Amino acid sequence: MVRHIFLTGFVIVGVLLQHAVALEPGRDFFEKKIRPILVGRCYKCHSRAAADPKGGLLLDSRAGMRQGGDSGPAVVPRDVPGSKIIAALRHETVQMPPDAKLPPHITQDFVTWIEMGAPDPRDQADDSKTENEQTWEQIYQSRRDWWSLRLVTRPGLPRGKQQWSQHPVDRFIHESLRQQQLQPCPQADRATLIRRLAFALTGLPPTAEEYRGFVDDQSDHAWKTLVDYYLQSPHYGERFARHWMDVVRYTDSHGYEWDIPAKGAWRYRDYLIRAFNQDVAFDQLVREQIAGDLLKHPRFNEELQINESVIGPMFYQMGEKRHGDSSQFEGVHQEMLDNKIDALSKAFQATTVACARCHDHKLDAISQKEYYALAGVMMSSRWTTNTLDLPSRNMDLIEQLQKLKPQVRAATARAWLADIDQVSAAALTKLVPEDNLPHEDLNFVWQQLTRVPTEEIASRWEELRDLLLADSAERTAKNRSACSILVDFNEELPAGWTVDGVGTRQKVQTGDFQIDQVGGKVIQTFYLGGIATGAISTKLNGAVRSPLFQNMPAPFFSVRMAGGQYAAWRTPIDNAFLCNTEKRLTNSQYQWELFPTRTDRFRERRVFLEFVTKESNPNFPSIYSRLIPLEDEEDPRSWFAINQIVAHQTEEAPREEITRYAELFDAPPPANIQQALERYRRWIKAAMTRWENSQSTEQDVLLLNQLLLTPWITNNKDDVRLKSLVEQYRQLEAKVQASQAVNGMVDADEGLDYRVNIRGDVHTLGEQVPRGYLRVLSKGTGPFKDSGSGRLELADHIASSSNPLTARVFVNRIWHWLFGRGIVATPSDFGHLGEQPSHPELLDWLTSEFIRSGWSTRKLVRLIVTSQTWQQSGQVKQKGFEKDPENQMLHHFPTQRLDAESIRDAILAVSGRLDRSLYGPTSDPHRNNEDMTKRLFSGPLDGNGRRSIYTKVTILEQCKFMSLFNQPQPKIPSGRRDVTTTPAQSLALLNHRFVVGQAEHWGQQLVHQEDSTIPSRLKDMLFLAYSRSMQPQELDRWTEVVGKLSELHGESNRILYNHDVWTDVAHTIFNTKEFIYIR
Amino acid sequence: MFDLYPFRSRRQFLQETSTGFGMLVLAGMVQSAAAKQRSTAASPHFAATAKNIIFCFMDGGPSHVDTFDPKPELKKREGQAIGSAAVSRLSQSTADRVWLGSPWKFKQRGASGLWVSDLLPHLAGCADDLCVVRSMVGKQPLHGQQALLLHTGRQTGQAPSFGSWVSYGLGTENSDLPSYVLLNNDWIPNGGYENFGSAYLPASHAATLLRAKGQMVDNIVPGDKVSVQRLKLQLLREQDRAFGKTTSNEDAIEATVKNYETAFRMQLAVPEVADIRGEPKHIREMYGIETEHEFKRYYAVQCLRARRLIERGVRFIEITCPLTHRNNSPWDQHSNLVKYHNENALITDQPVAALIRDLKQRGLLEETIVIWAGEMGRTPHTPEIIPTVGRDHHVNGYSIFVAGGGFQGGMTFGETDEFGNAATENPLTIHDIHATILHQMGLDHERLTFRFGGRDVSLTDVHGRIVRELISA
Repeated sequence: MVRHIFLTGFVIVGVLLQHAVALEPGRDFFEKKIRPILVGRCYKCHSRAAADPKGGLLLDSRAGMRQGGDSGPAVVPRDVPGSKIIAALRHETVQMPPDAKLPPHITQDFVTWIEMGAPDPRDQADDSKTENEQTWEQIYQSRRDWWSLRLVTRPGLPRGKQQWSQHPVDRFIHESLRQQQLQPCPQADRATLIRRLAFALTGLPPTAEEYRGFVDDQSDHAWKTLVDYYLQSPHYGERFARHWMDVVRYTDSHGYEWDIPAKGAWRYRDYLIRAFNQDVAFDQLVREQIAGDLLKHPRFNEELQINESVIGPMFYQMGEKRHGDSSQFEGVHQEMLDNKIDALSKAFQATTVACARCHDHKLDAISQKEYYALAGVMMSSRWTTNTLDLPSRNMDLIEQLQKLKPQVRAATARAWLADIDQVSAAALTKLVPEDNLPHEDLNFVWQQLTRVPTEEIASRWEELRDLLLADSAERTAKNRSACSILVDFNEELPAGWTVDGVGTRQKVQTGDFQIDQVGGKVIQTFYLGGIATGAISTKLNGAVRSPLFQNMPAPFFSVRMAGGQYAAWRTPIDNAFLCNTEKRLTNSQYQWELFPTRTDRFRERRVFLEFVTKESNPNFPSIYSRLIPLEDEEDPRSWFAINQIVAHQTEEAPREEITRYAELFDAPPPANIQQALERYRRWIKAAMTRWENSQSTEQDVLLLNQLLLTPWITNNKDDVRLKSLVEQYRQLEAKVQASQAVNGMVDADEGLDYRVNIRGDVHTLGEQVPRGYLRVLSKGTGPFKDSGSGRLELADHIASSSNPLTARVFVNRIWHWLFGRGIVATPSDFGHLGEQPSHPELLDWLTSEFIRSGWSTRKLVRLIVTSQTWQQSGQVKQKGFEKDPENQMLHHFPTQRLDAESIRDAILAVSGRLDRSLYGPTSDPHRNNEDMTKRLFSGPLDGNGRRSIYTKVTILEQCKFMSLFNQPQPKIPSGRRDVTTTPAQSLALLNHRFVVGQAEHWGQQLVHQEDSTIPSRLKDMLFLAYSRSMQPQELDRWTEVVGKLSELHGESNRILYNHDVWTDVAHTIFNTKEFIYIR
Repeated sequence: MFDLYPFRSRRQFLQETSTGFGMLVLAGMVQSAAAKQRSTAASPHFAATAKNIIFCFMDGGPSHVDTFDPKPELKKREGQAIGSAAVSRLSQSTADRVWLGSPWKFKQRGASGLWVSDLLPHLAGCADDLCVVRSMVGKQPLHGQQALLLHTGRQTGQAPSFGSWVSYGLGTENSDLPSYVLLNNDWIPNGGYENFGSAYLPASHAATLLRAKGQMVDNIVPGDKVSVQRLKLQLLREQDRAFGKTTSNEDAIEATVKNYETAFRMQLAVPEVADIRGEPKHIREMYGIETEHEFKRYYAVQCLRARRLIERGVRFIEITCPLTHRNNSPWDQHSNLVKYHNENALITDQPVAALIRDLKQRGLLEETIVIWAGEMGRTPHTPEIIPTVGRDHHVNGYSIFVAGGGFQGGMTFGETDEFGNAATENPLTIHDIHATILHQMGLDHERLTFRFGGRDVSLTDVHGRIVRELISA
């Protein structure tokens, strides 16, 4: 009832229907208020179109309603008690609609309508098909008139007598209290206030210095000074990032069966912390999270040398994901997209769009088509990993390494030319295998020659010459006729091909090479011209991506490539997030890999190919890599090289060409094995010499790569001739910072307009819907114009001052985070199923102020916490309890239990164990059992003292301690945390090894301190824990307990130095409610 | 090493708690034990047949055609392509796969003549108590979805588990023990802990995890001597009550004070119920505890604990399977069907059969429902017949059984086709099973609802029928 009084200033203005004929008032009422409900909520079971009309009742015509069903007339004009429908709507007799009771105002509409005489123009039964079409428009019109969809206004400040405070927030609050004849509470005492503020703004208890600074500050500005102090604390960013992480369902893994890591999640977390600490305008933050990869002017962080904006779309990649793709399990993709749409609409718009996946929204102004308009947007972008590094990062080192490489080349060539002259026939022969080598093998000819007696060497040589030259000609001819070059990575890339990454920024020339950076070799591989990520450092990442297979000109293509250290190629099907079509590159020798483009599996699906280093692989480690050790997962090294792609009509990859043999055989036949060796030397040295002079051909590279595997040369980093250069290179290379990438999205293809899934069934496709946003939030601008996904347009619609929800929803979240309850108590649902605002005008005023301030979160927080409303004490008066037990009017500051992270952080802070450093990779929570297959590793019990925000959030098994205290389950957005009270929490605080361990840690610190007395130590301890001084009798009681504890521990003399005693005191403090509650 | 008995005796505990706070708590326990036992129980909708549920989750999906659904036709046509007519979305299937006969022999068992294969010799001995459904149909042949569907009635989870609903509907009969206990064997099923969570129901209805090895229940072992803990709790109570008066929500503070008292009692009650030392030798042997097979020992101990928990009024118990080898889940034999189905059977068959027998001999089976179910069955076909042949995911007709609690023993319900490839008669969904079991517990699945997100939600959503054919008249 309270709420209704405050809604009087907030009369809902109906939008007139755009009907040509002016309707009489009663009929107008029917069309606007009654018919939409009947159509939307009743026809399904009570119309001629229903398979089996329930209870014999038909509500699709006037006659049907008047006549009623088995239990009597549904409607009797001007007789409310006699109209059965009212009792049913009220759930007094039968409960209709059965799934959810309609809100009271709708039932009231029916009462009003019956009192009006139940005007009803339906002479004939509604034809439900066409009627549905017509009536969605009517339903839409009636639903768009909803408080949260109205533009934000700037109400004037209440003018009533304001003795309490002139602060704008207080004026609104006081006005509503006054109307209820309630009084606000007086300001809380300073000790209470600083503790409240420190937790609210940083999630940590105040330090002793902070406390003294505030309590000693007698100026009028003491509070404002303190507020600014905490707003500038780096922990402020951690606090609000963690709040936002609930909203975006932050997770470090994707749950489902294998809990696959969410690549780059922690970078997104750091991005949020930085953004809040830098007070990045919230509309910018929204734009980045929706389309940060598409912004014309991305936000660069010069200090870290990264593109911040491109991190934003990691937002989409949070939450649970299934592995596999839609060709394996139809619907995988759609199911995952539903999670994205749900998160997007709840996080930014407090709107439950996902409810419209199967049917028009039951209560809000969202049709099913609009869901699929948005699904098209999400389907049009690729889910990829994007690089953050700006070109300036590592630039100096890269240049130095580039300069060093010619020296390595010269020295290596010299050394190896000498090696080639020295190798003996016996050494070579020893390594020739029994099985026949293939023609393309460097040692093929050698192997054949060693198998014949000396007298036959010359003739065998001639046979081999004829054989190989013929084979060579055939291979070349075959390749020429069957294959056409699709992409030559030496050249400019054709349309549709894209690259990303630091390692791909410079192309390699044929003959360039990778210096082995960690293994025992000098050279890891020689490159063919094209894209190769390891040329400078294997810590530099890269991705190369093809156009969609449907746009490929031939049914097959083949790629010549090499790679290692978990680099892979992948062919995501229909944008599967965690596709299983991936293969690792494990060969330093170039090979042709064949890709079909027209298989059954790919038919009518969007498939592309990407080559990725580990860092650029969005699905690493995948379910196939789950048994790799954690060190391998964390090691950034990985590389691939691609040279050429050819297209062909048959399922036959090109064969390696062997024209290099012409040079070998360009000499008279050898008479013996020694002469054969000379022929070989001449041949190999020619290739080596061309390499020395940077004149390598493709054939040379293929030959040199084979050479690396033979005893012809000493490919050993400890080779004295090369050692110092190799070390020099390695030392420099060690300084290269690994590339940073994060999962996100990229627009590379034509947009896709998806089709309605009838009843949400992916197999039953309805009409195609152009990409677009919700009509009610896009000012009727219609479908998106962009030929790509339209995501940037989506971002513009959402991150707009004229979007009625974006700023309002965020302002309400801030209020919720500061008071424990929003002005709208359902922060992620501003629709018909959500709560209505307790102070609508205040919400609007704050929202307009927020927009006016440039969407500054920090200013908004400052505005709220400097109000007297926020500084009230919790000493609620009896009258307040009686009139407003839920404190909706805010007549006192509500006592709140700390959230899970703050409880853990407070324990660390007070025990002295807290590591206050910011940022960086997550650490695993402590676990009872590790499970490598699901990558559930166990971390240290105390998380190395780091704040809770740096503990990994793994869906399959979250940090148990924090789960107990309601850290939310991260599959879907969480706008409001549960606060439960269970015995399991008590057991955890009593017996959990983390809590006990921290008590021991604190105790350990204490017994080494030179304290004078037991009471003074107790005073210090409790002050640290509660940020207040102790009452004398309180101190007496604790002192008495210390005495008893020391008796129980058999200590009577050196109590101050007894670790057990002080551990027990610390442990008891952690278990007090005052420790985990703020008031 | 596996330590079954890490706890000191009850007597020792009582001696240590004879004064002060502990005494108060214990006095409370004794004096109002009877009253309290009922106080937290909600009321059933109508007279109940059963009081408790034990759910033996056969995680990963045991093969129906190798356990309860004999298909001689498979052997006859082994190696023949199944053809496109046998392909279905509810099965990992393609037309070129081939039929695979069962490596195990089937026999009719007991007076009822129920068909059970040699894979489960001990359960075969309980045939007359088993009510086998052979026509279970799922939604998708995927572990995560099916496990969540089986546990929460929703493929996507985010909903309370079956055990939470039962706990919510009926409350607990023993306020010193949780009403829903998960006897875990150190393996988290697909879908994660959400399978056992309370979602939007109050947190007290989430499963409490009791492990086979290591620390039985999180944080249950007191870090302190009882005398020290008692002293701390005394101080805490004073300090907290005083603090409560300075807050705007004294009730919330008082609730946490009460929780400390419950926690204190749980430290005694949980280890006591988990401690099977007092069980006679013949009982321990019946369950198969005295075995060299580590995993079987864990599983058998958990089954025996399940009976002890039932005796003390715990409503809902789930026992999970251990994973003995690298695999997605214990019964998920895409390869090595014979080897690992045999091993899983070795681990679970005797203990589950013993549990049924033991309950029966104590007169508890009539009021206890024992469910044996995986989240899926396995394909009657395979890509090719090789020595390490396996079976893949299949939800188009598979078998589960229910025993006790008024379910008719020695019967089968529903049929699959001659290959076990599709349910042909009386197909049932997991919602039907949930509805029927709730019915036996005195709960109407349509009325057991909770207001969430503006709707009255239930375990079975808009689905489920009470399958009266399964229930004794």
